[in-house]
Amino acid sequence: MKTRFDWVGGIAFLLCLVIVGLLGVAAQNKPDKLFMDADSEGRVTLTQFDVTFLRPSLTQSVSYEVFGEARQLDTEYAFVVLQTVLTPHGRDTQFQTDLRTADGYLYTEISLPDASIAGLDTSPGLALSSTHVFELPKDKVAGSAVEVYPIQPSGLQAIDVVARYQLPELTLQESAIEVAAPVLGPPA
Amino acid sequence: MVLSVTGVIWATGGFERASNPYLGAPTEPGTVIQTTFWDIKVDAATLKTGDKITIELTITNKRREGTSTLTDGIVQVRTSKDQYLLADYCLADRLEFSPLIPTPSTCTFLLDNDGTDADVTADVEVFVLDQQMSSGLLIDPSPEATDPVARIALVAEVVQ
Repeated sequence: MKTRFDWVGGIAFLLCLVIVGLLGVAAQNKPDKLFMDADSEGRVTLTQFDVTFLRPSLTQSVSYEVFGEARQLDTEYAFVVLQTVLTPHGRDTQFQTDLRTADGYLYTEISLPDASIAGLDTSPGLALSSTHVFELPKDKVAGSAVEVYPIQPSGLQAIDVVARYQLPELTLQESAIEVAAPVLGPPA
Repeated sequence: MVLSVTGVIWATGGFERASNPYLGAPTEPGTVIQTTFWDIKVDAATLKTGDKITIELTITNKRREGTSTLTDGIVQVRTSKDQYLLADYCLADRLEFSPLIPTPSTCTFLLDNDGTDADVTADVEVFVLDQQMSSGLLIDPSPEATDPVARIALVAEVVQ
């Protein structure tokens, strides 16, 4: 008995394979983050949160207080220090701040007692001012950018939105820079 | 036939080789030891008699991202009683291992506090192990300790 080749079924099968392949390629090429750059005054306005980047500086010494006692932290490398004023608008209430160098190294902020907002809950509509400190080799500072993003984005967002601030050219300060604890409202 | 079987047993680590596994190259304290993800310098050791051994290290993260966690089992200690200990905890003085920043750290190895380790002496040997990336279903890929690359003999400072 002669078997007739089912051309329609064969073409449909091949089309399915092509569609599955194209979907796979599209999924691989989909960016997982959308970067929104700060304007000339260091502001990024998003539907999820607003953030303003202030007073970037470069030093080898930071001072801070623990229970009223003055402490100082020194490095033979470099500390990049800057302030952020962050206002969440929705249910995203935990944020992370990182520094990414021009060649792709990612630095998380140094955890100084009482000075970090990492893991700290903020409240929708209330601005939170905080100071961030990153330690990195001096030759990696130029071209670096600071990124702020929700730690666990709420809802079914197709993409994570990251506020990005390109650091200006910084000159090494000789004096220690004070790192204050986070406060609600504008920075002191 | 006998020679072939004997050779296979020897080649696969039998007889003398199995009882003398490779424990890493003998290395002086203060030498930078290169592993896949970290550069490690073993600086000093402290023995609190009958309580714990503390190893001071300088660790440089060679990965492209900062991390607060050191590879589990990256350093091990052999005590004077020939016990092999895994670190109970390791702490960095910055809480973070930033990429390419040598970071002072301490690893603490607790001794049995029931009196059996009261006679452990100050002679310790530290083993530094290499790592490979290990992935799990529920966690991000993370380094996992593998073969020893160096061993460092130290005389610990004894404190009471």
